[in-house]
Amino acid sequence: MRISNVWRKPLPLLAAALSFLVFIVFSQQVNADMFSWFKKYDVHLSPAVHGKITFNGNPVANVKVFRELTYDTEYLDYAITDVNGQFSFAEKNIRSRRPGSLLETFTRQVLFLDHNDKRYILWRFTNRTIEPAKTINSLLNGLHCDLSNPDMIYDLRNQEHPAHPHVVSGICTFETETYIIGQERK
Amino acid sequence: MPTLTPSMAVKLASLAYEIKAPGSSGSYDFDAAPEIRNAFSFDLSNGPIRGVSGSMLARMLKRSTGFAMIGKGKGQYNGDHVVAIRGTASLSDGITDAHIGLTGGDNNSLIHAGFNKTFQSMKPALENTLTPLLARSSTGTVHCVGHSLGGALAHITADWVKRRYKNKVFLYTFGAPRVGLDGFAIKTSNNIDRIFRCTHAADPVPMVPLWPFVHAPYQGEEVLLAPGQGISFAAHKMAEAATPGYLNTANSDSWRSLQQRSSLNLATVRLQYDNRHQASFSNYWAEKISAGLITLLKDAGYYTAVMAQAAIGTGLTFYDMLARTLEAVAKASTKLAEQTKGLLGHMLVFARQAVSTVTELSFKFIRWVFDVTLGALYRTAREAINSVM
Repeated sequence: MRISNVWRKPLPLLAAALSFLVFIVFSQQVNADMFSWFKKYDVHLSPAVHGKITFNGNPVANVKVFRELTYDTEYLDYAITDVNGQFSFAEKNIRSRRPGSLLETFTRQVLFLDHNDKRYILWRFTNRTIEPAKTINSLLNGLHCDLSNPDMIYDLRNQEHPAHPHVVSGICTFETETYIIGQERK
Repeated sequence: MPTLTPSMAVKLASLAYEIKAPGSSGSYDFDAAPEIRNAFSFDLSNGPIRGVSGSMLARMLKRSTGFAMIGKGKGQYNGDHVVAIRGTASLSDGITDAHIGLTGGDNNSLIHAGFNKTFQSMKPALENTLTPLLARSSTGTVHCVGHSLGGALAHITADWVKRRYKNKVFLYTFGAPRVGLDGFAIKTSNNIDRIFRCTHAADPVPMVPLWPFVHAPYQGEEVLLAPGQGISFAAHKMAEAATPGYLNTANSDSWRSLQQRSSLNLATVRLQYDNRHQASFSNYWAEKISAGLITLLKDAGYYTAVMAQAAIGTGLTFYDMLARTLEAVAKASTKLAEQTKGLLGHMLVFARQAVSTVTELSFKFIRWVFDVTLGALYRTAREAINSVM
């Protein structure tokens, strides 16, 4: 008798499954805005990115730069550097139907690459909103990443919520120092 | 023996959400604000403390995710440690339905079965990490931090750390639900050295699960970070873009500057039926109605019996039993019948029922009033939890 117990009791199991379904349906319907659950929201994951990879000042061509964007799930794409070491990514927005969760969870941006068996984190930033941040947009528009740079942490001015400076880390440097409040080696 | 500042505590509670799973880039690493970097270092090279969440799927597959991270103090916090724990949406089912299961916790008092299960799943890893660290610093403080259900887990963790290691333990929670019955609240209030229980008045999550679940510090104070009318699920959020947002309201260097509020539960409350329209769907009235219920049971001499029953029964039978008790209470005297009527009338107005007339005091009617009241509150709380995780 190796038949599992489950199959000998189809009725209670069916009842359990049914009541679960009923619970799901009704618990959604009683919400004040019963369709809010199905509504989709725009989530900003990344602005356009333009950058240049060098090693001791010399352009690193033909290397894959990965962009890992996370909002619950991960969105991964990559760009390949040209002869001048330059790469770019388009802006990335998604539509999400997370129930009414307008602003809570975070979005994360990581730019990284592998070169000579070593992984380099170029840029890492966690944003606690689903809206674009001006400072970040402007910095990602002109990254310079020399693979011999040290890994740094930057505290940056948050133009939308000044009481909560952005924290960015990685080996990249920026075209402007305007937004840097503090920096240290990681 | 410094405490964490409110702003450090809330930032740590927020960071704990970032360690759930590593991305393709391969690490759990995160970047904290300078005040956190200067006070604690986190070694995530072996990953965070993992746990199995309360969801059926996760339990069946024994799928564990990052739940907690442990930081080592430096500078002013040298010798101290911090345990920051995140919440999980799947635990929300456990605090917002009527079938709340109770279980004996590690300190031999009754606590929420779902919270305890998740805590037990991460306890071995917590122990493996903390034992060598605390062997070297028996005098340092262990700071336990969490938002929402992470706050509930931090509460259980703080109590366990205190009993297991005897270090000084401070607990900081933001928008955390109640964890256990009065036995657990009393024991942990005595055991944990300091408790900072931070709330927003309109946040529904600290209002659940309803009595007989009780908050710690027992009959003590909470830190009310934002006053407010009504109950709104948005008030549970942390983000700086939310209103009010725990990251904004706790963005302070000192606990002294924040408002303390003592629990209403201590008060004797007898609700007059004719005044029922003063009630509204708010934290204030949720507490006032709880106090009214407790007072009624005490006036009628049933309080001890009900508490004893709560200790052995589960959620569903608890409210059945409570309705039966109130039916009996109402029959005992005209005065108690009036008081019962007053309580039920307030509950109906609280739950925003169109008709709040109490015509009968039968078991069936009383049970129905409980249903609509619990339903109204639990729906909002469930929405709040699902919205943040």
